[in-house]
Amino acid sequence: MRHPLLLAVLTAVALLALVEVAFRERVKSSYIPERTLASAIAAGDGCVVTLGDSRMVAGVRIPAFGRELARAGTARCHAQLAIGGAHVVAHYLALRRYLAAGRKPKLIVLGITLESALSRELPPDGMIGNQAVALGWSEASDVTLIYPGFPARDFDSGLRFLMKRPFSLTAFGSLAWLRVQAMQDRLVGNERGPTNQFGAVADMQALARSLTRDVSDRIEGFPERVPLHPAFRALVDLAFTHGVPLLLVELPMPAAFRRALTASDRAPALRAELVALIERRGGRHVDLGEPAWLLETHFADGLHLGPEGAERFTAELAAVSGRAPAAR
Amino acid sequence: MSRLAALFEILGGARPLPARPERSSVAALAQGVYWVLLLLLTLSFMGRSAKFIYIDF
Repeated sequence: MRHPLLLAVLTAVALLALVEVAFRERVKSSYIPERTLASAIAAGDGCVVTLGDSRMVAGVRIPAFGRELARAGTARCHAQLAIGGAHVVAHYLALRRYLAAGRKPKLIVLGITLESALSRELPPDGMIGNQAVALGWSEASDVTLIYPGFPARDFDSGLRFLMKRPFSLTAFGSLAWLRVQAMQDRLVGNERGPTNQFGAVADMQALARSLTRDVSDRIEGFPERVPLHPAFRALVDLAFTHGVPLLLVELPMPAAFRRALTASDRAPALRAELVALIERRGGRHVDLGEPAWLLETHFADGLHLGPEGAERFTAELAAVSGRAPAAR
Repeated sequence: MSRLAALFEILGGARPLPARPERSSVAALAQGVYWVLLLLLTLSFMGRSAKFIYIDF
């Protein structure tokens, strides 16, 4: 054997390529955001698309929302594209993939809270779980959307983003960690406590507390220190260029969060900027953050609406969707 | 026991490395597979968990 090292390297490269292809297929069939996207595309044209994070997943009941839309003659179907634990970058990329598949929706409903539209750091190492769609669903040119000013600023993060995103093994490697983590938990007897469809209830409660703690500070930084996220603007522009009206909905949140949000002097200015941006692009804004029917007991885990709250929210969302502007 | 002692002496630098045997094609292929296994094991155990459920194997 004259070149054993060369043969070993070629074997490793060929095997890695096979593993990469197999892993890519596994991601397509098992990764919840991929399955969500596939279902939304399969729903067909003329749907109302719902975008947002886990609060939208919990709040919009399926199939009740689609039934309400059809009954009121608003749209023939509902395409659910909300992704739990995901950031506005993921909402934008999900919508871009959905539209790139040739779908022609009737209306796009984006459910957020005000501070979700603001910029925040998104290091490549933090793009795990559902956030990994920022790697796996992105294009190389998105580096300046996620790291504005790259390469003059955030060079390290931008470079690592560019290196991780082309391969499934690096973009979605975190999917293997969940299984490893579960094995480790079983091995050492770690109890995760009660869980719901999003994860451990204790984690969701901790997340609600951290959102409440941070909301004032983030909004106080608007617009100088914490501007609107470029992905939010890109999402609004994307809907506009496809001639689809965008309905921006502020989501119901627990009283403590709403108090913290409204305590910020900059909240009205941020809301006014979002409304102006949306309306310039033919869309509409609706604040369902504190509807009259809302009770604290409607939040099943301190953050997400439980069945009763979701039922009421779904009905109200269907009603406001019917009053949204028509597609151009 | 003496082989184990010899191994420790090599690892510790007290004894020179043995001469490398002639490499066969099968050994080279096995080495390539071994590298990939090590890489996959590293990738699987290098991470941290996420709070949100995101996969349904």
